[in-house]
Amino acid sequence: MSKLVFATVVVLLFSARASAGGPAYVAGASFFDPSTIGTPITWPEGIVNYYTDQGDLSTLLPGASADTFVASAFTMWTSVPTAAVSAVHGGQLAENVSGSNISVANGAITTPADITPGATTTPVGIVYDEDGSVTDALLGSGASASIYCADNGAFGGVDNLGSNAQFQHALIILNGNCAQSSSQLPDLQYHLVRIIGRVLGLDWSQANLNVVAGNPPATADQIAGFPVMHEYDPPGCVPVANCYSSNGAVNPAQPKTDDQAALSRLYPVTAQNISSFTGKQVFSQTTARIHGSVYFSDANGAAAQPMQGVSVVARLIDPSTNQPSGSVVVTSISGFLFCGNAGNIITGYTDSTGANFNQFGSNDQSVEGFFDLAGLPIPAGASNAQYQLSVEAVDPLWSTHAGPYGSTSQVEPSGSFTPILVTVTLGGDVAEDILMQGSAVQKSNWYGSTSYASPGQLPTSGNWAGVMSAYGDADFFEFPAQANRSLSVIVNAIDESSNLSESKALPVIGMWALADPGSSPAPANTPSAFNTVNFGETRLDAQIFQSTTFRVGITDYRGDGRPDYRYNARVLYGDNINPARASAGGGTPLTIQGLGLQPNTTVQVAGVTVPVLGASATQLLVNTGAGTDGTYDVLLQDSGSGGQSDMSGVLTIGAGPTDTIKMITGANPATAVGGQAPVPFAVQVLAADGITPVGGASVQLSSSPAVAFSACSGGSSCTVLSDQSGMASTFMTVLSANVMTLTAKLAPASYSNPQQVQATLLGTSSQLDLALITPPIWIAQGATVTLPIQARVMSNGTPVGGTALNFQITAGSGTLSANSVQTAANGNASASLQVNSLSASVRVTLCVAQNNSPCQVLNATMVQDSSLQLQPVSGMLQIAPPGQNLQPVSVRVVDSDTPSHPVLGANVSFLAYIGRMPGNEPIVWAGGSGISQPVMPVILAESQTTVQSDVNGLANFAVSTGGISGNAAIVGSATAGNNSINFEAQQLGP
Amino acid sequence: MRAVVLSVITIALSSVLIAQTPQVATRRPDINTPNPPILLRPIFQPILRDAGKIFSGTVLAVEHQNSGSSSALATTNIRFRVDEAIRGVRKSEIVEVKEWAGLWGSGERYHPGERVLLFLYPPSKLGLTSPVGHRAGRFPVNGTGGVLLPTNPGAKPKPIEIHKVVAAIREAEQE
Repeated sequence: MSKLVFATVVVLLFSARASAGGPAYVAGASFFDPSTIGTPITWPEGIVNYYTDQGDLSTLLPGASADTFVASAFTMWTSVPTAAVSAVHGGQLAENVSGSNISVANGAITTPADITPGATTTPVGIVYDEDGSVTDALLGSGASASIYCADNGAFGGVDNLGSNAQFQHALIILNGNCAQSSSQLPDLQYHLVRIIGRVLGLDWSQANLNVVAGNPPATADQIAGFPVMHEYDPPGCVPVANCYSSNGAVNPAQPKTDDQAALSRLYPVTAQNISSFTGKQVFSQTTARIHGSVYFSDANGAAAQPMQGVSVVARLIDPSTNQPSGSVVVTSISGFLFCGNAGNIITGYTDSTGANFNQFGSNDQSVEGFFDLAGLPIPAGASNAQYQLSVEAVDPLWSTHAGPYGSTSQVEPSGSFTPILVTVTLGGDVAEDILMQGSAVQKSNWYGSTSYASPGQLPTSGNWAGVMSAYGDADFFEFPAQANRSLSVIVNAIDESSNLSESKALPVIGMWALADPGSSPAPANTPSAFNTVNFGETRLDAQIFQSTTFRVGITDYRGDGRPDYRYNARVLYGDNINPARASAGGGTPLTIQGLGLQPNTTVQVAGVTVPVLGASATQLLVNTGAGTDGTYDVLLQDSGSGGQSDMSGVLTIGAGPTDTIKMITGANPATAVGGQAPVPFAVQVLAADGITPVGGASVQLSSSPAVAFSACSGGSSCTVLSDQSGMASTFMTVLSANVMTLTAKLAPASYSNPQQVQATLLGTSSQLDLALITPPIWIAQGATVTLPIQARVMSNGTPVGGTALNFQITAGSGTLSANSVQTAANGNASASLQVNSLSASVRVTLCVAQNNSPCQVLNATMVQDSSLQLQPVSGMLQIAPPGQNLQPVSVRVVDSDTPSHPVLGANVSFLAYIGRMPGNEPIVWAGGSGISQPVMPVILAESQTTVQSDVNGLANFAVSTGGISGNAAIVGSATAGNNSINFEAQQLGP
Repeated sequence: MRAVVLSVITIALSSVLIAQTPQVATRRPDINTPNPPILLRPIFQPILRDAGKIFSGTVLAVEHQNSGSSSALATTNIRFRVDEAIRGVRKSEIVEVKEWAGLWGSGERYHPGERVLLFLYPPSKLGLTSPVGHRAGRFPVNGTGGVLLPTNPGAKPKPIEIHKVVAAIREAEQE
C-alpha cells in the first residue's frame, strides 16, 4: 500500500464527519487538495464498481442469488431518475471471505488484501459472511446472532478516500445469519440499502421524525415520505415493515423523496453527463430548487450572522388538500458544506487519534448557514408548485450525527421562523434566505475584544459574563497566581434567555503561562465541555507550581461562535491569608484574599470547616478554631460548582516547624521549700527570624523533680499558650529540697524533636526559713497603689504558725498596713504597702521576729514614664459572630529593661471608635492593617477610659459596640507613656 | 519558562482526575423519579445474554492502530477506567477495548472523558469486540453516574442511578 493510501485510510476512519441534508463527507481545509475545499465527496463519475464474495450468503441466497440481491439493493439508488449514479458488478473478490481467512499473525490482524481500505482495484468489496464468522470476528463473539440482524445484518461503509475528494474504497459485510429465511430478506435488503446510501456518500437525514418518535402518531403520508436515510431505527421496528410499510403500501427500502433529492444533489444528471445515464432526466430541469442561508437577526431585524445546524424543510402544498404534504418533503441542514468542528486552541485541532478536525467541511464562512433544497418535485403535468418552507431543530436523539454539528453535538436553533409559502417552477431556482426572528443579537463583551496575544485583565471579582459571538471567538484573560495554590475555573453555558444549557456552546477552558507563545492544546485544559456533575458546567481544576502570570482562555470546543453562545465564568482562587498565623487556641480572625469568592464558599482550615463570617468576591472572613501546632492548608470549596482552591501550607497554627523558643528569665536564688521563687520562668516563642513574637503557640511546662507551676494551677506540668507577645511565664513554688530542672518545650505534640529551654531551681530547707511569696515588683512613677506583700515561714519544709513576721520600709517612702504580723497555720503572713505618687523606689525588709532572722527583701522599683512599654496580650484582632461577645483587649505594661518586667500602676489610656459601613454592609478585615473597604465606616460612637495596670502589668479594656446593632467595628488604641498599641474588633450583626 | 510549562502540564493531568471525580449531583432532579416509571429489565434483557463484559466506565484514551500492511486490519483501541463493574471486569480496573476501526465511521466513537455503560460482546478470535446490538448495548452516563435510558420513543432519555441499573441487570440475569 502506498504511503498516500495509508494516509487516506487514517483520515477517513477517524475523522469522518457528517454533513447532512446531502453529503456525508465534504472536503475540508486539510488533507484535501485546496481546490476541492467545500466539495462533497463522491464516487468518480458516479460509477460504483463493486466486487462480491466468491462464497454464498446463505443456503437461501447462494452466490449468484446473493449477487442478484445486492444488485437489487443498488438499483434502489441507481434507479433514481435524476441521479447520475450507477453500480457495476465488476466481478468477484479473489476468495470466499470467511472467518478462516481473517486471522491474527504476529499481533496484526490480517484479512484478504482485496477487502482492505487500500484495495482500490476492488473499490467496493461485498463480503458474504455465510456462517457469521466474519461478523463475529469483527464485532465480537456472538454478534452474528440473528437477534442482532437489525444492527449487524449489513454493516461497513467507506474506508478510504482520496485527496481529490473522491471515494477510493468501501467495504460492506452481509451477515448470512440474517438471510436464512425469506421472511428475513426484506429487512436485510432495507439495511443493505441504507449501508449503500452511506457508501454513496449520503448523510443521515431528518424528516417526519414522528414516524419513529411516535408523537404525534404518523400518518400514511408521513410514512411514505420518511427517508430511508434517517439515522436510527427504534428497537420496536423489527421487522421494519412494522414501522415503515404503512400496511404494505410503502416499501421501507425504497428511497423516498428526500433520499432521492439528496442523492441527486450529490450526483446530478446534467446536460453534460446524461448521455452516460440513458433514460434519466436532467436534475435541474425536472425539479425545482430553493436555496439560501439561515441567519440570525440583528437588532433591526436584518440578516446578521449565518446560523448552521438548522434543518430547513420544504413540503409540497398538496394541490388536492392545500395542506403541506407528508410524503413530498425535502430537507437540508444549514451549513451542510461547512466545517462544524474545526477544533480550537484550547483542546487542539486534532481528534483523539491525531486527525485534523478541519479536514472535513469548508472553512468558507459564506456557506456557514447555506442550505440547498434542490430536487423539489413538481406534480405531474404542472409547471409550478407551492412549497411550505419551515425550520426544525436537528434532533440530538434521533439525528445525533446529522449535519455540521453531528460530529459533536447538535445546537438548539436561536429564534424562530414562521413557515412561509414559496412558489417554485419546474426547472426554477428560488433564492430565499431565512431570518430567525427573535434570535440572539450579537453584542460586544463589556470587557471588549480579547485575543491570545492581547488578553484582557481578569475582572477583579473573578466573575464575569461573556458571549462567544463571532465564529471562532475565544476570550482570554490574564491574572497572577502564586505557587502552591490550586484553583478552579468554572464556566456555565447559558442560552439567550440566561438559562443553563448544554444545547448551545460547548465551553472548554485552558490555561497557559503568560509567556507561553500559544501552545495548543493548552498545557492545562478541559478535554471536553461539561466535564462535571453539574448541568451546563465545565470546570478546569489546576495546580499552580510556579508563581507567575497566567492566561486563561474560554472558547467553544468546535471553534464555533454564535450570539447565543453565552456563558458565566468564575475563577475560584485563594491567593493569600492574613494573618498567616493563628493561635492554637482558636479565635484568630483570618481574611482570605482571592478571586471569585462567594458567601457560600466553604473554608477548611487545617482540615476543619470554619464558618464564613463575611464575604465579598475578593475576601472571606473566618475565625479559626482550636488546633494543633503546625503548618496547614486552607481550602476553599464551592459546593455549587464543585470548584475548589487549596492554598498549600499558608497557615501556621501555633508554633511552626522553624519557630524557636527562648528563655527570658529563669535564674533564681535558692528558694526555701514551700516558698515561691522570686523570678518567673518566662520564655518567648519567636519566629525563625528570632525577632517576631509568635502568639498562640503551645508551650509545655514540666519540672523534675516537681514544682508547683502557677501557670498550671499548682500542677507540675501543663501546656500553656504563648500570648500575643510570644510570652509564656510561670512562677514556681518549691516543693522539695532538690535541684529541680524546669523545662519549656515548644509544641512537643506536633514535632518529634521539639525545641526546648531549661532552667534549674534550687530548693532549700533549714530549721527556720522565710520565703517571699510576692515577687519583686516594678511600679510606675507617680503611681498610687496598694501592694499586698506575702511571705511564708517554714521549718524544714513545714509551715510555722503563730510566729511574728516584721515588715519594715528600708528605702524610699510608703505606708505599711502593719509592722508585725502573726503567721497563720499555713505559715503565711501578709501586709500591704501603700505608695502615693511614687517618686522613688521602695524597699521593704521582712524578718522573722525575735531574732529578726532570717530576713527577705522585697524591692519595688520605680519605672519612669518614658520607660514604659506596651505588649499585646490578647484581643488585638478579633471578631465575634452574631450572638457572641467580644473578648476584652488585654495589654501588658513593662519596663524597658532586658528582660523586661511587668509594671504595676501604670495608667493605660484606651480610646475606641465604633463604626459601621453605610448600608450596614459587612466589614471585612484585612489582617492587622485595618478595615479594607472602599468607603470609610461611619463613626457612631467613641469610648475612652484609663485603666491602671495590675501587679502582672496587665490592663484590660472591655470591647463593646455600646448597644449598636448590625455589623459594627471597633478600632482603638491603648497608650501608656509614649507607647501605643492598636486593636481592632468586629461584632457581626444578625 | 520551561519550568513553568512543565508545571502547568502537570496541572492538566491532575485537572482531568479532579474534574472527573464523581460527585453528588446538584441538578438533574429527575434522576430518581422517572415519570412515567421506566421498566429497566426489558431494556437490558435482550442484550444481557450475549454480553461478555458489562461495565460503566470512563474513557481514558482512544488510539488508532494500523500496521500499514496492505492486508492489515485497522483497529481502534479504547481504554476505560471501570467505574462500576457488572460482568467480566473489576471495579477500577483499566480495560482496553479493541474495536474494528470500520465502526468509527458508523458513529461508534469515543472521546476521552466520556462516560458510558457498555454491554460488550465477548472478544472475537481477533480480540475485537463492540457493543451488543450496536446502539442497544451502549448507554451514555452523565456526570452524576446516572445512566441515560430511553423511556418512550422520542422522549428524552432519563438518568437512572447506576445502582438501580445494576439491580435491574442482576434481576434480569436471574431470569
